[in-house]
Amino acid sequence: MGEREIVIDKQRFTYEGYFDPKQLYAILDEWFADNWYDRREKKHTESTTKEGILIDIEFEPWKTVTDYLRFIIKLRLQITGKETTIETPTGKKRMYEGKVHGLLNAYLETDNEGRWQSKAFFIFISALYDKYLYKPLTGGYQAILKQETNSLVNTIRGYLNVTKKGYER
Amino acid sequence: MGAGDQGVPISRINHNGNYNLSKLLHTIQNWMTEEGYDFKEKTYKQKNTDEGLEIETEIEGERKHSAYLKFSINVLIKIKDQNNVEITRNGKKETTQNGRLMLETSGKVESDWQKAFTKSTFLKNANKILDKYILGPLISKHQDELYYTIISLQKTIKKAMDFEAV
Repeated sequence: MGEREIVIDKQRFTYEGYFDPKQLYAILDEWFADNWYDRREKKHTESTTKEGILIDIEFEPWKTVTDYLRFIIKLRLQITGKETTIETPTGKKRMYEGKVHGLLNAYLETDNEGRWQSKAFFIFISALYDKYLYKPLTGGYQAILKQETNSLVNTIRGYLNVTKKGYER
Repeated sequence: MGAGDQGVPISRINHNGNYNLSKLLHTIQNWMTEEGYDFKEKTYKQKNTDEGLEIETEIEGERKHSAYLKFSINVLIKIKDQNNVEITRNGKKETTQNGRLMLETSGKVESDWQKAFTKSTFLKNANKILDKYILGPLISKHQDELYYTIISLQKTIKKAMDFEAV
């Protein structure tokens, strides 16, 4: 593993209203698959209390772009809510009413295979390469990663806002 | 153990609340058997405390892919403050457990599991060349497959524990 360059630092989003955690999870899975990210779920916590449910999920999907560069997205979702039943035109639907907090970071990782980390001289050469020779290319990849991360956030927001508008009382 | 042992990153599942430990362990065992893994409970530790039972168990599944490569999946379960509780589900009374459960899944593609290349320095060096340059892409491909196999195990575990986000 080489150096990680921060492209997006602590982008937050919050939603309050109705949602279905299963469907939200399925949408995330679908996004990772459609955008060729290898899905990695670092941590998944679920707790049931008298106040409702608490779900804390940490994803760290990655995509190998070239043999030297990799995109990494860190997404943390904290979901709190109480179970409720909503009347829909097709019948009763089980949902949760609560809050969804999201925190997102995105990184560019160079030398993802760790070939230039075995000796101090190689680390020095790779640092020079990243800073002066590879920089023009890195700028383009940063833009692609920002675009993909925004697409992920918009997908999550899109689903949650559709749920809100669909079931607002 | 060969020079090309490739590990799959650890993934953790935490749960505070009700769960059925017997169902969970049977689910893991059945999944491993169906996938062709030899199921083995490596360790089981249990301790009584004032808050409840403390349990730690490590489960290992091994599958010999070939005479040179072996896949292994490890599941580590740690439970604290476990107490038996009675709940009503679908009109029927059930005895389940309540506590704090932490479950870690990890895996490994192990090369030279028969230790044929450990007999001399020459063979050890030959093994390194074999794993890095000749079989490297194949081992990497198997590691990817094992990774997604472990994701399938995690989904099965979450369904057995009635997780919402599955």
